[in-house]
Amino acid sequence: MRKRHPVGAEIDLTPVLSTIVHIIPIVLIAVRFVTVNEHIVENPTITASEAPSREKLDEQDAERVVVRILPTGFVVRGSSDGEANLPCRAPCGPADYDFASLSDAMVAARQRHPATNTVIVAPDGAISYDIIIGVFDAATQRVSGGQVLPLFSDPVLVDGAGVPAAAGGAP
Amino acid sequence: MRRARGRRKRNAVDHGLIITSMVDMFTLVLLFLLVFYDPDYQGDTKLELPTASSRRPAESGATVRVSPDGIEVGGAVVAGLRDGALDASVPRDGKAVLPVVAALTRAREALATPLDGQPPVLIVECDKRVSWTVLGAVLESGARAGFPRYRFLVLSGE
Repeated sequence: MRKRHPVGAEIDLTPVLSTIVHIIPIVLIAVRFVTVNEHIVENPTITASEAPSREKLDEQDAERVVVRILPTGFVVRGSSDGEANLPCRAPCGPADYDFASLSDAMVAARQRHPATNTVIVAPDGAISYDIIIGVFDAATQRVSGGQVLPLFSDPVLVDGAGVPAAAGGAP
Repeated sequence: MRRARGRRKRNAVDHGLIITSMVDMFTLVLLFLLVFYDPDYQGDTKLELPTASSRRPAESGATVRVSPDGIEVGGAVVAGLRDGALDASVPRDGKAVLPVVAALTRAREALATPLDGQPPVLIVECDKRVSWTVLGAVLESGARAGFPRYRFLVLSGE
């Protein structure tokens, strides 16, 4: 028996090594090294068919912060008296919307409406998802110099057709 | 001769490859990959998620994917898109897309009831080029299927 199991015998690691060497490329192919985060959004409660009247919206203006996304730029209600028009810097493409001015308007709106955490985002039909997410970013927080200033934590997405712009409100 | 034999004995040490360190290293690499591998997130090169500064980590659940080619629920295409708009042959009720409503209703019924009593949340993976016309129809369908809240997946822009 002692001859069969000589002192100093080592475990044969070759099969283990072989298995691991096969598993690593499989996992490397399957894995994606990206960080996926999320924006939580409330149900769109105002659709075109359920849209409140212009008068009703006017009555609720004091309590609402509304960002309309138009093919020509942003219209923000609640950041100043009346509506703030933020037109595109160039013929509107995804990179031409003025997100810096929108972020400033959101900070002003936060100061004017400290009691509410809700912001209504109302895109028009042709607006792309990329721009909508950009508006969520500007409306929910402001990141400056590594510091995060929380703004409106509860964005509500509604159909822009249900939120009429004021006369001459379009930029 | 005796000296020569002695030298031979000294040189007769077994120079087998020492792979213990390599096994250690590979094991650590494997553990690292397994920890960071998320099997719930099925990445797709067709789908371009938008970038955002949100730091809220994504969670898993009932998912609808909207790509320029179509709307998928549970990995199956339930409604096709053509030129960025819903195919005219897809049955609709107002804004809601009926096949999407049916698929999402099944997905909601398959979800376990959350212990905290919170309403179910629909995870939306949407290509950044998709228009609000299509996305709004998907959200309306989600609302009809009983999802009052949505999680929009975005890529970290930090």
